[in-house]
Amino acid sequence: MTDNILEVRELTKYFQTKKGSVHAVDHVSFSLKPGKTLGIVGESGCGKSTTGRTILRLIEPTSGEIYFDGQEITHLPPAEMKKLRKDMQIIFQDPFSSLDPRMTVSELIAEPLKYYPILQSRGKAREQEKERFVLELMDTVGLAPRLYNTYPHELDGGRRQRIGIARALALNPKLIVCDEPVSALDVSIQAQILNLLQELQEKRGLTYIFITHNLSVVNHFADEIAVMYLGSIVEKAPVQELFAHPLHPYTQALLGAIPVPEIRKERQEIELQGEVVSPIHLPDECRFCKRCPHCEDRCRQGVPPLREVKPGHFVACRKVENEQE
Amino acid sequence: MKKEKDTTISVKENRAVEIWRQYRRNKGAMVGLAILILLILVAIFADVIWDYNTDIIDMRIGNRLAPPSWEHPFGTDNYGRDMFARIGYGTRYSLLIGFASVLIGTLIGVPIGAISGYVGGKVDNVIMRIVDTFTIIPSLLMTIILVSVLGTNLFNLMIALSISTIPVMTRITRASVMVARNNDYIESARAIGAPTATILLKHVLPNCFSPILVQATLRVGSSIISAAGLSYIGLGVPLPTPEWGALLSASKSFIIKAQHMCLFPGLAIMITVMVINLVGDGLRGALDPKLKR
Amino acid sequence: MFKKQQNRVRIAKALETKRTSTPYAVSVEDLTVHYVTSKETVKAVNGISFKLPKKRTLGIVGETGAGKTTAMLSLMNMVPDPPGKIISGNIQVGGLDIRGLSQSELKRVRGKEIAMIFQDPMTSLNPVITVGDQIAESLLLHQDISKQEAMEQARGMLAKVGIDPDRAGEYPHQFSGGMRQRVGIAIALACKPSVLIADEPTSALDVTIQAQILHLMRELKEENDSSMILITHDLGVVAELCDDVAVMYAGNIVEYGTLEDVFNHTKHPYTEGLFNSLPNIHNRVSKLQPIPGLMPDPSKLPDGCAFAPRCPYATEACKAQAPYIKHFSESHLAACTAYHDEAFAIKRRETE
Repeated sequence: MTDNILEVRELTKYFQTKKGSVHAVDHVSFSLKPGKTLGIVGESGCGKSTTGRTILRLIEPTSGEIYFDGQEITHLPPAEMKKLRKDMQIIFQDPFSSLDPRMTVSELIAEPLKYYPILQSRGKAREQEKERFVLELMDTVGLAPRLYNTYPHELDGGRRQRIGIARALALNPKLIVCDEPVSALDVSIQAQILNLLQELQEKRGLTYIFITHNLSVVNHFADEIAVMYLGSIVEKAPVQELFAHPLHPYTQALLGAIPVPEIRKERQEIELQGEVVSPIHLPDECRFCKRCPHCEDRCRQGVPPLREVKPGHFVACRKVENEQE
Repeated sequence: MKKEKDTTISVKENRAVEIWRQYRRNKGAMVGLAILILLILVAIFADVIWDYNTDIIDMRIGNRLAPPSWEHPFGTDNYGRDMFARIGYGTRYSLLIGFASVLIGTLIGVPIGAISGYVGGKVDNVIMRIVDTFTIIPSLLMTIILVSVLGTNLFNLMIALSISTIPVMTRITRASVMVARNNDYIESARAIGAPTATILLKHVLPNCFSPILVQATLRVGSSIISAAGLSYIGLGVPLPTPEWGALLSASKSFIIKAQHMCLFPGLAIMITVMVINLVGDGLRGALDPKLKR
Repeated sequence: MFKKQQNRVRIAKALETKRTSTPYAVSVEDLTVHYVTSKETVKAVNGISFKLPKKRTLGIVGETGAGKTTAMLSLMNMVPDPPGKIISGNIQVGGLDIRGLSQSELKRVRGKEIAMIFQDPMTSLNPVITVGDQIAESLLLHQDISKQEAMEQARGMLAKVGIDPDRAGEYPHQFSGGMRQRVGIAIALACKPSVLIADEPTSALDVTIQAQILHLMRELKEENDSSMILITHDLGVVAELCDDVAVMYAGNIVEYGTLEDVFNHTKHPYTEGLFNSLPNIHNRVSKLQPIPGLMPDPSKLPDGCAFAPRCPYATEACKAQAPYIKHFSESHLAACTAYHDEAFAIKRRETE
């Protein structure tokens, strides 16, 4: 219990809108050990990004508990929370809107130093220490020193994402939420960034929450995967288990729908009908009912709970429950 | 992973030098700046160049309504006073009214708009409804009401114009803050623990600078014109102060006999407004690193 | 109204006299497109050639800035000019020399002979016109039919792409992303074009929706007997849909062949690099092998092979001379100087 760096219990975030309350995150629970990576996978609007940001309290949760390093953080006052922010950072999806266009590369990377007592020296020596610090970080993430005074808009997406990573690393965090860090990048650049993140994890013992819509990316990266659909986790399992034995119909469809870059003799995809329904006014039934090929009467009786079917493998599905019994 | 080999740090230019280098590329803005500096110098040293009593207000009836000549390049007015000297001296009032009213209006309007846009919710609602009530009244009418209540003099005119500038600046600031705060870099600043005030001052407002600056420069022009308009209907700076609007106003009875009397003050207003817009446009370009080339 | 119709007939006749018979739906020879401004010349497309036989699908694969979209815009003579300039090249669509057509003739060709599906279903539809009217609009432009007939056909098109025809009176914002892309496809296919260009048609969509759309495109293409050019950065999508593949890099086609040629007998180092940098869903290797560096700035292309600075096999010869075009079979070619050496072979990462 206490060796978890992060433990999330029944985390819930409802957004109030004119049309009704949007169930962005609905009673999500998971825990994470230090140095490990949890992949959160799902399609747009499934609440994966909101989950990531709520954990950092960039969005205030509606209810639920978040334990970081054993400490409950949802009720911490701002000053206490600020101290904790040092340990939990985020890398954003869009390297074009996540960097202030009016700051140079070095200013962007050095900005976190202003808010925390990291630099020791005073006066002139402080400037030098800051420069050393920034250059060291730039070297860590693979940015050439000549870019020290350039503006982000002069750089390509891959380099900009490296700035974002350096900024997150500046405070030497324990946990980093990676919110689709490579989705906006070209394939050859994606691999560069993924390798960098992996290297950093090994060197610094970082813990990642890796949010993505791309299952093949998390396959490489994560130790455990949580699949989200309409605000809830529908399946959670260690990565090899999930890829080998996906149990939830949604996970199965998701895996089947990925276009694989090889010539396949026959197509074995389970094509899902319809589209994600709006997360407003959800009926009290399995969230996946409207698109599920196996939906039966009992699926419409309440939301199925997330149940452990094999050690470490959790599924929220009545059909799987039936087969178990 | 291959690291990039280059190890030299590019030289960091002083921010001011950089801005100036950028600014210089815009030819129109440079011309504008030259004329604006000239106008400001004239305004500052008006007392050195002209003697207020002998050159500006002394009447020489024998020489009234003389057309432009070498001696009087802009001709003389209905009291025989040199129009060139009067327009030159008037720079002082017009520029002061234009700049001061916008400066005051901006200093008050921008913070209100920024808070309204960034905080949102109920605060935003209350602020915007108040601003709305001010906006419903046409700004010239508003100024007229204020001046009639406060009394006609230069200071009151400035205050009245400032007050009618506030809602304009509040609105534009609020709108651009609402756009800017949705960027991920705001979230990013929060994630690294930046205090709200810092985020607002360092990340949100600088990125709203362009529309605010454009609006402000436009307002300088329109304040000068409003002031001229008020003077024209006799609510501005009292005679014989050679404020440009007052000069125009005085010319109205002589528009057939002596066109130069209305031509030159009109030109002065037009050129000044244009010059300020040119400078504003240049500044906007120079301050935005994205437009750097 | 009558005059318009006459005009249409006249242009159609003129087009027929210009048409030559050919087995290819599209053929492009030595196409070069540059964007010329006072500051620089961006060399977007540098002498590409390809032939698309009728009823086949060609995938054009490449990263941002490879010149894929510019090449396809040239096919419709729609490169924005200025600053775009088609420097050289012979472009034939359905036997018509595109560069030799007048503006009014081009308008006949666009939509009727060759149509386009766009990447972003949010912005490619007009938000203030109902989807039914948007489909009917394209029908009315190319056919002599009444408004009612056009509307009837538009409803038929909606049904074909899997949307309830009764939703014809709704506006684009009332549809989800996937549904909007279906509308985009309906518009493109309304006049039964012989060539369909799809520019990243599924990049903005979720995977499960992407699968639906790809399925739909495959079906409709077969039904209409049309040929298709699919622009994408996703090798997975290519594998699902294409018969032939052209890999583009910095404005050149670096490898060209059938799907089998390019995917199973990869020859060009860049193609190899693309495959190696993809995370493989079946195989958890510990490390991806990215291509180092970045694509060169298309306004400052290096001499010789544009890929040489990033290529692990590059020699001095690669940097000095234009790449050698090696034909491996009738269908398969790669532009790589290393193949001067008969023994040269690249190594794809093991997939098992």
